[in-house]
Amino acid sequence: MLDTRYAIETPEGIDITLRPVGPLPRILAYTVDLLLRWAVLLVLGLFLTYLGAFGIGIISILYFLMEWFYPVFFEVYRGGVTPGKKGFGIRVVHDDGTPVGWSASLIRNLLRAVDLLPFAYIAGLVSMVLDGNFRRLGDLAAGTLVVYQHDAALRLESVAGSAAEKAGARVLPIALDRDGQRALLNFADRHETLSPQRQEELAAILDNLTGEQGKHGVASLLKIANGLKGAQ
Amino acid sequence: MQFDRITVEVRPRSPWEALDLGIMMAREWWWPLLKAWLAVSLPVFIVLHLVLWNSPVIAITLMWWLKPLWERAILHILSRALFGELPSLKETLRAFPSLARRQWLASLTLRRLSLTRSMDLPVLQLEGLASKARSLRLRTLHKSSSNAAFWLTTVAMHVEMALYFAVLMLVYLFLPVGVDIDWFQVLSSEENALVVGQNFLVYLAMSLIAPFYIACGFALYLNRRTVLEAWDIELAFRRLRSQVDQPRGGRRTGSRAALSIFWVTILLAGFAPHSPALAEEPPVREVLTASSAQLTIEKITAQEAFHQQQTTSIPKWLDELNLDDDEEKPSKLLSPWMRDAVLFLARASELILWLVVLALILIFAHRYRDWLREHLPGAGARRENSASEAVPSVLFGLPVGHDSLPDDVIGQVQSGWRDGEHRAALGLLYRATLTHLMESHAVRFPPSSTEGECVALVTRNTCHEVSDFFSGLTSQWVQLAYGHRIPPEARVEALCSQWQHLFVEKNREP
Repeated sequence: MLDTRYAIETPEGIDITLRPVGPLPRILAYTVDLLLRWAVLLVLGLFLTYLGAFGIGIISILYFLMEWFYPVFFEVYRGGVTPGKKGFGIRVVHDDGTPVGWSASLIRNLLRAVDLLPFAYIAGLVSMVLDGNFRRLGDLAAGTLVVYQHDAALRLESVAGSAAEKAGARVLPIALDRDGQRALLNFADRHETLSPQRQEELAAILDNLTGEQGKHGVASLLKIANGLKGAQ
Repeated sequence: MQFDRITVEVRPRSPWEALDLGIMMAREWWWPLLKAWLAVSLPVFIVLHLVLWNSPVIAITLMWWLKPLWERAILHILSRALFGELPSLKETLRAFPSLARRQWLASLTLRRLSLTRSMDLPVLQLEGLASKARSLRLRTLHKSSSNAAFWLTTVAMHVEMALYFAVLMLVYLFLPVGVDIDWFQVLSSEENALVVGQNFLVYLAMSLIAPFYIACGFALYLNRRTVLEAWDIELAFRRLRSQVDQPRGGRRTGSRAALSIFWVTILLAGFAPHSPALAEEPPVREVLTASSAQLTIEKITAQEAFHQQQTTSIPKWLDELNLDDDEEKPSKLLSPWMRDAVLFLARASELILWLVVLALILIFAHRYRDWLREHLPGAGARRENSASEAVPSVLFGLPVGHDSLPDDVIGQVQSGWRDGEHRAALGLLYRATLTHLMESHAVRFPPSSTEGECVALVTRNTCHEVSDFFSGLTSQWVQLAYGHRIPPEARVEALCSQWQHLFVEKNREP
């Protein structure tokens, strides 16, 4: 199955899934960071140029620091989130899922010097596409990953309507495994985002469980889901 | 749609994650996609450039303009591969003319500059919708994903350009120092061959990006439909249906008893919600005692998951030679006398190996005997005894001991000095001193010690007077022996009289 997940097994045998971020959101996040840096330099530059050569010296130093340590600062002190990354809900972590530290952050950001070869980060882009977990060369060297912070699926489910809960409850006719139960709950949570025809179509698949067709099939699936939730 | 054969993990994703999935899809089917793209577009590229040799800029612009047509071949492959039927290149080429014909005019005119092209293509090509139905459908699909589709096009465009410049830059970086190229001239040159070369680079960049671009757009479309039509739920329900069906499937093979049990279960299940007796029955709690828990634990840990099994294979003949159980298993491979020979060889080798170990230990003990003598416990006691040990006759290559000395040491030293044989004279005095130190003061000089170490040893083991004399004598001797500097005669006289005093007269006193 083709997917973009990255699984880590903890010593306790618990699987943690991270979802690495692909090139597109990362390019955009980088662009936001870049524009932000330029804006800051531009504003400071307007004032500092009044100081003549001294001001230009300061701008040069600031430029150097911002170019190399801007990402490091945010990654270490802001939990792996630069302002640009924050906009896309992504963050940098170690590839075991722990927050990124000084050494990893320094390595991954200093290696930008390699990633930006030969022009506009093409080496990093090629590395990201080839790697399978979307790591550029700096990430590979530092052992870091860029991952999504929030689960889109969770947000979808939170839309869940309360109408479903008024349908009444029914005990599960036969024992189902966890995935099956989850599918039923999922249906109850999301059925309002589906058209009535589609709801009936889906319910028709499980007519051997409910023994009913059409609207009644949908209703009894909702009842079963409520039963699973513990309603009486 | 053959949902059970889908090759992509179906779950609702954010549009950005859908784009990531698109990258993975393009990676997975990269070669088929690229081949199809090249097969349909490279001939056109060549023909266009041959026909329009004098205006290559128009040729590449046309190539770019026709992109939506080439992209249909890529989407064709993706849509089939998604359900596990990757079409061959031949099949794709056969399908291509009809794919390209569908609404080609609109694609190349009105919609050519649409920034959501990649995501809209599936609606046209796979759903075959046109005009009103199409725009309605697109409105539904665009609701949450058009943002991502827009950025996809924007970024893809920029990356395409960056790729083109990256190739030029790479060439530049690999040029040896001293080769100067006027890049401005190259890039703005009007010469056809150069422009065609640049066009080829542009086309190459297009070819590299196109599969990713179309796959990402397709992934956006898939994700939107997954959310809207709950594909993941449908898949899960289908799996569930077969689960529910399973007991019914077992009916035919099962016995009559199983059949009746099955019906009873179904009946009970059907009545369960309405039967208060069943519903109110308190659940039976198993009482957990230490011993029963222990039993459970043992039962669980005996399961396969808690054991590691390893299969090791060794060659058969080696197994035959296994010496541990040769009594029980007579070898089939070897005749008895051969087995005896092998056994004898083994025993002999074992003995030889032990002898080697013993010899090594002995050699080691001999080699480091001095070190061992000093560092092993009881070494101190042995050092005490060393006074009674025989005085060596040679020390640092110098003959020592009474046999090597004349009776009248001082007389010979003084006469030798007067004859000009300074080295021999002072050497004799030094040797005589060493001899006396060893004999009457029981000083033992290790063979490896230097002159300085000797002085230190004497300082530690004798009285002030003797050690002062010895250090004075040593410094003169070292200067003469190594530095070839002859000490003043008065100094030698003084040493002689001191020697007389310390070693001859004192010895007589008691």
